[in-house]
Amino acid sequence: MDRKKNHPWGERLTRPSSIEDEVNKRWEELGLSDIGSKEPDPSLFGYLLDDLIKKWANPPKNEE
Amino acid sequence: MINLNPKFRFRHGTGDIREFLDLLEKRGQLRRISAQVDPNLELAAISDRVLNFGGPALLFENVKGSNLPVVINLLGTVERVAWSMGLDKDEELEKLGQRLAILQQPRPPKSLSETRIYANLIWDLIKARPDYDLTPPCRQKIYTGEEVNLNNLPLIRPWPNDANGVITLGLVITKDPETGVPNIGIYRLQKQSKNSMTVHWLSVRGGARHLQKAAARGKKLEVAVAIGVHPLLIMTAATPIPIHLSEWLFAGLYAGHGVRLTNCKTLSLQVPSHSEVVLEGTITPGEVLPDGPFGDHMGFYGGIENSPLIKFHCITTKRDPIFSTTFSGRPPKEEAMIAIALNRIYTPILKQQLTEVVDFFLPMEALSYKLAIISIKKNYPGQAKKTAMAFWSALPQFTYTKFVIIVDEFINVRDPRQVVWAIASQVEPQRDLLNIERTPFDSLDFASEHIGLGGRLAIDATTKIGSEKKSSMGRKAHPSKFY
Repeated sequence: MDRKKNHPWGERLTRPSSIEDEVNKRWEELGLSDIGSKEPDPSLFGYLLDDLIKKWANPPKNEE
Repeated sequence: MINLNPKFRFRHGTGDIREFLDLLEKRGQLRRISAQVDPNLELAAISDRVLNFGGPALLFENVKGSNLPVVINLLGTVERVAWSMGLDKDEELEKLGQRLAILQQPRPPKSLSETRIYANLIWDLIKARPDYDLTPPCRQKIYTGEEVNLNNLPLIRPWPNDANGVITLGLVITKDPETGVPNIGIYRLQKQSKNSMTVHWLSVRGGARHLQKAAARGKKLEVAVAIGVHPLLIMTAATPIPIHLSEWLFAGLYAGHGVRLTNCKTLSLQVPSHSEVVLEGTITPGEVLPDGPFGDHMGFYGGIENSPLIKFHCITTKRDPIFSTTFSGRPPKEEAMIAIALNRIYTPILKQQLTEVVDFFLPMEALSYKLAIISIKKNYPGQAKKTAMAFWSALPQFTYTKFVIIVDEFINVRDPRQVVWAIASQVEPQRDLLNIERTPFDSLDFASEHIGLGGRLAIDATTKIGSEKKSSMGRKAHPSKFY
């Protein structure tokens, strides 16, 4: 059996600029205008896991 | 607006997805979006941007073409993955891994303290047994025959060249035709018609094994797909567990109490009774259709492959179901966040099987499985290469690890500076590279020339000892040398 792949190699995932433009335009309407104004905290992605562990051990006090 | 305090709370067992959404909302980690959004490209484009900024989970309440709201990015940060597991400290993951290691290779206890550990584990297993629900909320609405219509579900299409709408976050449940042990996996399903989907599972996965056994018996394989379950069950399905152990039991170990299950309406399979949507169908062995292409976890499109066809004959749902989904692409994505947590679970399992292993690390940038860095306590010449070969066979998912770098025990595998130093200072390319050609490999590997076949490389970056080295140069560096 021919086991060669039948798709072009390494076609990178991208989105049409029209979609990105539409998302830009709707960002406020979607209620997301506060997101993306600053760089994300690397600990959210596990890069500084020790800091995150300390945060887990001391959860916010206003929680039920 | 969706009610996040549902009437159907469980007295015991894992909660439902609404309970988790409730928790996220209280912690400011859930954003509701009431504006209409298109599941074709737009929904994923919005989610992707939010995910890249470490933003909250999103609940799209108005999805074009469907009455079901869609939740996405539930496990979009390591923090939320930890919350989904009720976790306060990461050490608990390693403890879970230790228990899993005992289950993987049971042996008689060697001491009184080990006997106590085993006894606790047995008690935990007893507590972890599933519980059964005779009036399950997942069956408040039932659709059969012509009423079965996948077009009513908000199937997203994340990338422009994706073949069709997909289910990405469903628990795909099958049962071993020989032993009756269920398998719960998360496999991508592509819509083929209003009542059929192809399932994309690798040949080593549990579902594929069950289909092979069903085919050998000349029988159809029953398949249930449970969508909108508590993310703890997603973590369970993603965890490598011993083949003979039921994922339901393991989910109970995670949760500390049994998962509440119910029988399917038409199949001899069990599903979580709190599922938002359950699809019930069968696969006829040999019946396949082209599946793909789809955007995949490396950031490229995958190929088209003939995949088993599931024909659905029944759909059951809650009264006002929520649909959960995710999508693949270059990290960070939800799948990468899950993998970071799972790495902690693998560590004790690996240490049990390869006693020389001190630590190991699977960097997220390599999709948490393509490249492994392993530190070992080296005792004899050639041990690093032996460790690499054993690693590739230790757990099914390590079969697809393309690069293995072995370093000395005093190298911190999580510090790229130390690892690069070890490679640069200890590796003689002619002697220390182990290159194996044309081995069984991940069909999703975009560098491979042939689907299912690929090479792998081990780099022995340990200090050479005994007959490994003719010269007397190069004493072992002291750990205090490092940072």
